[in-house]
Amino acid sequence: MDRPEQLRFRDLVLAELPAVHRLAVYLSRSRQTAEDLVQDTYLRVFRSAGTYRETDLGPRPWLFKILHNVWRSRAGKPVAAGAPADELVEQTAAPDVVPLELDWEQVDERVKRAVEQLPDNYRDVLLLWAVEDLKYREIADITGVPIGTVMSRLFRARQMLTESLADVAAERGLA
Amino acid sequence: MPDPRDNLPSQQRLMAYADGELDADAALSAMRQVAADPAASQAVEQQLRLRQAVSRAVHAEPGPSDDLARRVSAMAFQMPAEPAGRLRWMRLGIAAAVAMLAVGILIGRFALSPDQPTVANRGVTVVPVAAVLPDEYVKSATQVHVRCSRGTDHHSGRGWPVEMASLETPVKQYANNQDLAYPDLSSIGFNYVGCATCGRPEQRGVHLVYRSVGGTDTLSLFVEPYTQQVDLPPNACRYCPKSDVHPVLVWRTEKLVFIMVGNARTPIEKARVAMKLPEPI
Repeated sequence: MDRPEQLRFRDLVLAELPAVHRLAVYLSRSRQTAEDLVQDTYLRVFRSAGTYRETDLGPRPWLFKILHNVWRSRAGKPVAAGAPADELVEQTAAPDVVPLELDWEQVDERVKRAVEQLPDNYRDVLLLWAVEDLKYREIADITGVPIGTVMSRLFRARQMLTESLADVAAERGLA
Repeated sequence: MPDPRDNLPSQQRLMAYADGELDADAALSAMRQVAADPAASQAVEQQLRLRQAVSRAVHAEPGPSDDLARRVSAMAFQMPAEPAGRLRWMRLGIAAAVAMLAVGILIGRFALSPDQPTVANRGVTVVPVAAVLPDEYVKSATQVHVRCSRGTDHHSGRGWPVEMASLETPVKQYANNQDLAYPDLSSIGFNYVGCATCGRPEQRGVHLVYRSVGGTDTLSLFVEPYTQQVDLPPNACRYCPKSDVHPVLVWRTEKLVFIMVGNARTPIEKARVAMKLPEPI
């Protein structure tokens, strides 16, 4: 990487700091841990600068992949493809979608709490889908699991969120 | 290898349809189901709203601390200038001067490489890591973007706002010279909603709103007269490094500044390519 490319690379990855931090906070559920994750991530990013290949999507998916690897290695999590719990979700009949009558603009705090309470693997894919607007295949690449597993985890995460928000609707006399 | 998106159970198929993940045939089938079944239509609508709600709730999370930003920038500016293919690192506890340089760059007071020559083979001018836009521009633009993402009743349907008289001359000239008064982003799945001045009288420009098919995402484009507060050469394009939650892409001509704000980088990059803008510097 020559000097102008280094400068450009530096700009590109530093501009993604808020997004990387945001994902780190929700993965770790701790701002303190998130700071450590982000710092370790960027250490690896700058060490691996020569391996970065620019795409139309920008550096964000690449950065997220590194963040995931850092998070997993810290937490001692192996990359598990198609764990039994995910297969069960695929095979059981899906319950009917609970229709929600909600003022969606007023439930941010409850949504935030519901997301934080999701199991790690479900929260992970949900964030990449909802917040970063990534496609299933992109999420699979970042998380290192098959696309079918991404889909089943995402499906289950959305079910759990909907069930949680159904309680909100009931409390407010809307369901 | 079979695609797991084929032969999905009904609920998952509707979710995949809401996510834009089905191929053309499957999407058409799902569309027919949605048209015929109010419960299916409600399920799709609910998924779109859920996605928006999660995005909004998570985006409300405060950004990285200044201290973290400084530490990360300090790492960045320790990258030595090495021949291609070899990067060796200085140790992390190095000179406070490097960290101070990083802090100075963060607050836009230092030029990183003011005398870098133009990279002739790419036609790109290297510019310092400065603010590009004043902080108040970024804050105002993102606030308007978020506000108008929730409701665009005050945006006119096509063309430019009725209040043309309130616009600065370069913006009026731009509007009058275009056969199509706004960039067409339909090729990337974003439809033009409308245009208004949106309470930014100090910039005397306009705010164009684009909404994605399905309504889950919004792009904002601000067209404003160029002022010297904008640190960007003409016909160059750059992401604002100080934008926080929402990515901000800036480009300019001799007399106009274009500021695109989105909820994620991907659609902005697609818009940049669709509008044939240069690669960001």
